[in-house]
Amino acid sequence: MQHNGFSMAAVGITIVFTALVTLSLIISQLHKLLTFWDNRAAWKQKIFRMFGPQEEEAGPAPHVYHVPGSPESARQFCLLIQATGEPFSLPGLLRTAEACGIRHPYAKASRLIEEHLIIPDQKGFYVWNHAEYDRPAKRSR
Amino acid sequence: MHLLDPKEIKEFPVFRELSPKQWAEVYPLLHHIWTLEGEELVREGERAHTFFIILRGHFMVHYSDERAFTLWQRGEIIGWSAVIRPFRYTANVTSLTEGEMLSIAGIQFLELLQANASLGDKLVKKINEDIQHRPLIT
Repeated sequence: MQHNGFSMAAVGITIVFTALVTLSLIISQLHKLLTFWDNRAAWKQKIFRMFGPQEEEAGPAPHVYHVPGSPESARQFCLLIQATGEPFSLPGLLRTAEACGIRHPYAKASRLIEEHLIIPDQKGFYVWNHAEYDRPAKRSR
Repeated sequence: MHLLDPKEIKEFPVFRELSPKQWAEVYPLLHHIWTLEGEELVREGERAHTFFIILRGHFMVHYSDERAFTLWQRGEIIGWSAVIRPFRYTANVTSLTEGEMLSIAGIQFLELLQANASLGDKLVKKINEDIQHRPLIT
């Protein structure tokens, strides 16, 4: 019985030191995880290049990344623009969209600009292209 | 940089008129960077530390008075203030989509332009041409 205390103390010390060593190893490698997280877009590209289709097969890459088109996006932005008035400031519209909780407002606005639903007024502001939006094909989106 | 085709980059308007020797001096300064949706690349009034060239993506250039325009053409430049006095950005630039760019550290670029007058003339001329075609200039 006298030796039980020493054994328990030894086991306790071993457990504590093992845990501390494990923790220190994790912390020492944490910077790699953070670097990976910071460069995730680059890693995604590298992985895509390694395992994705070859460029010759896939054809020329588009110059602009797209978010999936969504009629909901157009409707959301149309309503926002109706509320804010025209012509509107693009940065202001994006701030309002973010405040309203619209997900990916920047990419969605980019898509709407590419689709000519949001068009510049040549004075630095933008207007909603009602004619384009009201076209039957667009309306049904 | 090894992921990109130097011949294709050399054909961008800003680099097109460089001689092979001049291009060999500029190319090592280029860095390939990726941007995220909503990322602020440049802030108006801050020291212009980097010069960017668009490879892919859609970027919004906007001013404190709320005016804005967007850039998406491959080879278009952003951050020309890095090589033109007073070396302060004159607009904000936000990435609307994920994107890819080439970046050049302003100090290195400026040193190169100052050390090689002919190279400097060609690049600054091209940068000025690009700026003149922008819809808004402050």
